[in-house]
Amino acid sequence: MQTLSRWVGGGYSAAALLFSLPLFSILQKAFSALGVWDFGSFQKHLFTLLFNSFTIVAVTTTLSVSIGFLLAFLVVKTDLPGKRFWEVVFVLPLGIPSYIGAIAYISLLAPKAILSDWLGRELWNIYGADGVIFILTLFTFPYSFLICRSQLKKMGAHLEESAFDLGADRFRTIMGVFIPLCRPALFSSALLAGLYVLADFGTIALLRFNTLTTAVFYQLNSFHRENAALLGLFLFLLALAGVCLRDYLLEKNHHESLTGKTEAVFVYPLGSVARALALVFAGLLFFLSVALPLATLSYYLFTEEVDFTKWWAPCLNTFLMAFALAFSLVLSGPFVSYGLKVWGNHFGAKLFRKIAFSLYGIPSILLALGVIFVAQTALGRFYGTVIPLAVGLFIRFFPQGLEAMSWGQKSLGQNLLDASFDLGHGYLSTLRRVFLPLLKGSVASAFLLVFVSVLKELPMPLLLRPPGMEILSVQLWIDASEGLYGQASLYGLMIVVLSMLATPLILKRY
Amino acid sequence: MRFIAFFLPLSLIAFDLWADLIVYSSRKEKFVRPLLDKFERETKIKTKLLSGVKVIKILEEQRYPLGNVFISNDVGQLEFLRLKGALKGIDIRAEIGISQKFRAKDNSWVGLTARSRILMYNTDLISQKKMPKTLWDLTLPQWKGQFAITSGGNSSMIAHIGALRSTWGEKKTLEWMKKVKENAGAITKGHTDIRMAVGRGEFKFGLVNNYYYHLQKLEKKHNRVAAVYPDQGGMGTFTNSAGVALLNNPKNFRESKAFMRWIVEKENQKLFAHASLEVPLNPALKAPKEAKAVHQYKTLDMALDTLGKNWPKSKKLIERAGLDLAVK
Repeated sequence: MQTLSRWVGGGYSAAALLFSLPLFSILQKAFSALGVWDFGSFQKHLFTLLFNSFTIVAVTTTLSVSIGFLLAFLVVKTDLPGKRFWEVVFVLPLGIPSYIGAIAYISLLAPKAILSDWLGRELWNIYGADGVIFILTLFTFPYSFLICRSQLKKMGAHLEESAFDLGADRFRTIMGVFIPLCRPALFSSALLAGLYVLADFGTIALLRFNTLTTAVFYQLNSFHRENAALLGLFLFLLALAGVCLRDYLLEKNHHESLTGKTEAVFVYPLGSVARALALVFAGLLFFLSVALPLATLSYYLFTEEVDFTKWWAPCLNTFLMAFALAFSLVLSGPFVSYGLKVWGNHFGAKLFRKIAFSLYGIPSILLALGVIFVAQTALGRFYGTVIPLAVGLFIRFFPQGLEAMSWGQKSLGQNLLDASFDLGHGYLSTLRRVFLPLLKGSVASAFLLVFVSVLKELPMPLLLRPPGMEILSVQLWIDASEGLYGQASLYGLMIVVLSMLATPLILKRY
Repeated sequence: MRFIAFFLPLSLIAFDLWADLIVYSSRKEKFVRPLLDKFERETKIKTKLLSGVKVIKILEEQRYPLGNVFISNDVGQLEFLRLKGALKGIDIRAEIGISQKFRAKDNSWVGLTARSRILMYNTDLISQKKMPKTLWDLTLPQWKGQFAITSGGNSSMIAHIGALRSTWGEKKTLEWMKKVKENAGAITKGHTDIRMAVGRGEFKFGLVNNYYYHLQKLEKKHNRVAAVYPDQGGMGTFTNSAGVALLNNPKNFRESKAFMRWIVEKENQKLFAHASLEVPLNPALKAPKEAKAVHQYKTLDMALDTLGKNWPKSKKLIERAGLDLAVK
């Protein structure tokens, strides 16, 4: 007990250091930009950029969370046919990098492109804010689908039974019981989706739109790291504001009635009309976010020249990278729970959690530069290894995974972990016998979320991978940025295949 | 469980990375790989390639550099790096056939192939006769909405604006940017968007590096495109260059120097250019079939190293014209 407590303290301090150093390097650059006070056009555009970022984040997040929640509800709490199928396919859009989705839709919808050629006229001009919102919604709703799904699965039938006994009808039960209880999950997914949109570059640039993040890239492409850092700091503060708002709203309306026990879920039978509507809705989303992009990729794969040799090395590297990170997230589970119990309400711990999570709002490329800066001094000759990449991915995705896992962890009684340790079980044994069985749903979602996000992550591997290490997303980007879509689609499909293999394996068991 | 837990992180960390020469590159791997294979065969120096390297990565790594040489598509960037102290000069005594205009004063970088800024047009939509012949023509009202350019955030565009600024002066360049920004039908992030859009027929023509024109010619569909080398009757076409730089990294310095001296040998210059269908800067070498050799057209008379020096000024000017974050 005593030892674990000491380990937890050390572990947390190490993590805090790891997170704060790159942020510190960004701060330092941002302050040197402030010192020179030479922002070029940045001042002129600030209001527009801020407005653009805000609009896109607000609209996309609302849409994506509503869609994800609705789908999760349909899959978990109704008798929708084909549940197993939907469960798997609605995770897949997460494995498609959104800029690949954008390329697919542009090559369909752009003026004189495949579809407009066929129709003889332009169906919809995809460039601009509406296109950005459309694409980003399609590829971010799995966040809320995954998180809400595991949350809904934990709400046993006793909730409905009590509500019905008290005379509430179905509608009131859903609005009065479920939505409030799902609020933490909804807020978490809103944050994940919102921060993803805030920091996205590829999709937005391809659709010829500008946000604060595209301004960061403009500064970086013209080699002005200081101004880029200043804009990044700005994004970080916006993200931090979002995180604080979420925490405030949750503390204000605190519900905690969750147990780790597995219980049967009450299933609402759908009427025939409702079932048809639900199927159309699910089918449409499947078509738009999975079938259509994959069909476009396959079309390129078969019509363009593709070199099929040497695909396995990037595939293996990418898999190992994603698996190692997701796996270590699971390993850290009891450790983090323990820390949450001991220090969860401590001011420093709360602040650290907020900061770590808000880093997700900074474009990954800036964080990667921060990691280079720190790793150079700290690692010396080990700089050229995979360590910087591991650190970068850890900083980028660990808070995300913990966020997905944390709502389950709250329900895990401290005494259970204590009891297990007191009975002489070691860390791993406690993880396997107590933690995983009780939290399987949340852990599985968190694992998948991290695994799939790492599979498609571009800036971290692009800037931090050691020479000679090939990564799918990087190869994909190199080819796609020159318009060699045939070769690019091979790598894109490999990413989807990897996520497709992992998803049913994990969701089936949990 | 225990086994996996310890084995996995270890296997990743143990990834062996030691090499005699680490080659950074922002060119396509397909073009660089044959070159490195030949180098390894001839010199027995083991290389490791890192593709997709960005200039900011090199700047950030400057204290303890990892790469030894950098192969880049834009020597304006290379001179910028030299001025930041990220490159190292070298003695090249052999006659390499590359004009002083296309290399650094201290030979820390050498341009090898020409990347000319051309107007690529869709032959179904416009004939060569009707095409604008000068860059200034892009400001004329008759072309309103009919062509595409990249935004001022694209490094080739920044270099091009830098060249125009040196030739035309600030005032005229600013006016050109403002008018072209209004006139263009689309302002994109990169050249790929332009070559695809012109190929499809979304626009009559677009301002691109000649390399993208060759890529579009290779497409199975939408390949009815041709090129105009602008300003042949006047200042000449601006020609940037792809080349190689020696990074300021004391580790493996002997091997790095060997690489620099090796790559400027005639047959290796040729391999460098032909692998990517680019035009060698060395007039003694033949150009690929589709392309014009550098001495067949008039290039803008300007030493490329001034681009690096003027980079911040070009950036400022682009921001004044509002072309930095322009999108359409």
